[in-house]
Amino acid sequence: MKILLKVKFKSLVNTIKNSSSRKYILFLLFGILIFALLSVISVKVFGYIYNQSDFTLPLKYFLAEKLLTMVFLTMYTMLILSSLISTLNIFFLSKDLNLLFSSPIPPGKIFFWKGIEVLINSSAMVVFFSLPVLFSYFYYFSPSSGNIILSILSFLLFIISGVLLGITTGFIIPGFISVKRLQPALSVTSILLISFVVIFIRMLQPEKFGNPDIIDNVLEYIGSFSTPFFKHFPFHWLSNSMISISKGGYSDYLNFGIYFLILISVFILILWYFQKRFYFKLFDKLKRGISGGRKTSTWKKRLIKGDYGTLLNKELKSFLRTPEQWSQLLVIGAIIVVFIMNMKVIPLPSPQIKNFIAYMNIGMAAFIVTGLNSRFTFTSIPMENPGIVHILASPFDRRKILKFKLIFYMIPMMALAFFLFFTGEITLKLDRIARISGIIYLVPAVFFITLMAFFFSLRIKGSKALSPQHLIVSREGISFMLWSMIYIGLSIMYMIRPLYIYFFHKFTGKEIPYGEITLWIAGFFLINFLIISYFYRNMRKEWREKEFL
Amino acid sequence: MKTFEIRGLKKEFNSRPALNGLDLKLERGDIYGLLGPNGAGKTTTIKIIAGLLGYDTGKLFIDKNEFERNNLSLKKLISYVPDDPFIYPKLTGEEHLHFFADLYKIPEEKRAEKFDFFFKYFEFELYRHELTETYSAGTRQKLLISQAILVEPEILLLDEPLVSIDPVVGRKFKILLKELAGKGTIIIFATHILPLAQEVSTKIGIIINGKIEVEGSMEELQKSSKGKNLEDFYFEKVMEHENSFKS
Repeated sequence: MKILLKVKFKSLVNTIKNSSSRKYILFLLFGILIFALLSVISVKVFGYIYNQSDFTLPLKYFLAEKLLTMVFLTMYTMLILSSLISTLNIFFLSKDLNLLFSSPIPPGKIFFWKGIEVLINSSAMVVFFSLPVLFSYFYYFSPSSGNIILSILSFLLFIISGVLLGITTGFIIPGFISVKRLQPALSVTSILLISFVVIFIRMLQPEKFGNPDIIDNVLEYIGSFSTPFFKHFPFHWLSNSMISISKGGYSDYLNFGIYFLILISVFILILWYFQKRFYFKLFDKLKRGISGGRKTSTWKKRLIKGDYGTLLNKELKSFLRTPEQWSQLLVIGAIIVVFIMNMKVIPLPSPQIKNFIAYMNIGMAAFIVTGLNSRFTFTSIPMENPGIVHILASPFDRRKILKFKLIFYMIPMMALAFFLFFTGEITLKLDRIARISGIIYLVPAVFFITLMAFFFSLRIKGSKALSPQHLIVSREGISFMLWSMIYIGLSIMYMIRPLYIYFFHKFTGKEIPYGEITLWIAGFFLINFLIISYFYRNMRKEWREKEFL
Repeated sequence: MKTFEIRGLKKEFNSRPALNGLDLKLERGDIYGLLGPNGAGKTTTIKIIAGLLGYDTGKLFIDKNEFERNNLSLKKLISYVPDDPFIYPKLTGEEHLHFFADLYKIPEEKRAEKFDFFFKYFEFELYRHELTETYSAGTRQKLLISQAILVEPEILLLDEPLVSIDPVVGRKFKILLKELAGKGTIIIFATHILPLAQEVSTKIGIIINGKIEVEGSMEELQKSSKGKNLEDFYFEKVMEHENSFKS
């Protein structure tokens, strides 16, 4: 058993040793940033509830419990899905399984360690994102160290139960479907569920919790949310056990602890039985492989003829036949729905605020485009490795490949940015200047961000096949995100100036200096033209000279 | 096309020499077996000819025209089978061949007959409409060989062509290679399978530390090694070089 642990540890150490320190610093900074953001939000929300003088203490606990339930419901869904996918990867598809099962290590031990691997892989991020929520709650509602320890204990049981549920489900499903076929289907399902959770949480309108004016409605609203059905789920047990110990109700805490222990024991028993009876049967079933299904092949260039048509055909077929890829569009759909809902509920006490929100909306659209570029555009060329050598060794013009990629990703990014912008615009009914400045900002910004995604992706050395997850957190991936953020920040700040000039003169009744505004806008175009030219030239050079080892 | 020539090719990776003044001259119909230990520069040589890698110094010529890395009219003459049998996983076998035929601008009306031939000849008709992600390593290799021969190249580059191929299809492949060479195609292949090199090559080159140390036809090599077989001769040359390097 020690040897399995040692292999994992050595692999981890070697990965860290062989990677550049710059990448880890960037990664760490990014992690700290997200963690800080979550901490600020959690502290603000729990602090707001706790400091409301209009609220009675039981009501504060009630609201805190509902908030915790919402958070833990999301965490639990993520935990189950993540452990389900990890189970399929680690217990059935992992390349080291053949080696391990042909070694003299008892299968039970391998099974146990694979379970630990699933636990760590699938729960690490959930634990990380839960910490700010937990500690903000402890800070306001449960500050004693004894209570904190007891709450963390419940939290650990919650994590273990979620992972065990995911593993158990992961063992039942392959009995019916081949794991290789199941994995893409699961990715789609998981993304659908995540999208659903995102929209569901948004629909609960958590901002209303803190509004004393609608408290009667909130109680009614919470009442409908608190269905008896939820009492059977671990996310409810955890939030209630934490609230119980804060109130001093240790017997309730103990009850919930027993629920957790019973649930965990049941899962362990089921898994022990599966391991003895079915695991190797399922493992063998997978080895039989998959075939059949497709009857014909088509290669008609329907949209564009010629060289670009060839690439478009290849790109569309690959994209549409990869559910992991296109299903992520569902997440985009969820983001757009949340975005529109946010726009609708924004309080607009004055036109200045309306225009300010509209202006920030431009930055938000650019930010969403950056995120999508990071996932799709940035990974597009490296993910084609090493298959792209077939195109590059052929007489196909290299420059055309890059041009095609640029156009193929630029068009949907531009369309999405404008869709987001006009959604906000229609909802808020902006001034003409805000509308014009949005259009002026988005055209070069989206072009530049998409270009930068290619520029950084071409700097990735080698021609090994890499997963999108691996690529996004590479040094180049993090650099792209950071530089994009800097660009968005600086460009938004620059473009505030012409807007400020316009509104200042408008509200003070002075003549609007259109000349000056035009100059500022021309300056924006000029700066963007220069940096786009610089990056475009360098990107083409990188591409021309890129070597495929 | 009559000749293909490489003169003084040098290439370094992070200050480590991979090719160290490599020279090579081939004529129409030559089948050149490139042998050598791991890391000797076989794949680097083939990748440079395929245009996937640049080089520091040296020149490549097709007839008397200098071959530049991205010269498309010269690249039309070449096709390449990489050592890593990766193909686009979400295309079917036939779609993959269409894609490749598009890259080489092979007219649509000529394709069906050729495709039929390859799927039947290499015995993977059953997988014709399957996504290539479901292919075994051997079937992937068959598809890669088919795509490379499909375009009727003047120079065919093969990096470890018989990896994962079963003996029956392997034999068919060797027959096809000889047929192609008979029509004038220059074939350069890197391999560790010495019997393959012995059987099909008209010339064999042993590359050590980025330089071709020994070169000649099978008869010439046997003469110079006093009748030794290729395996013994290869072993002797590599060891000789290693010993001189150590001393």
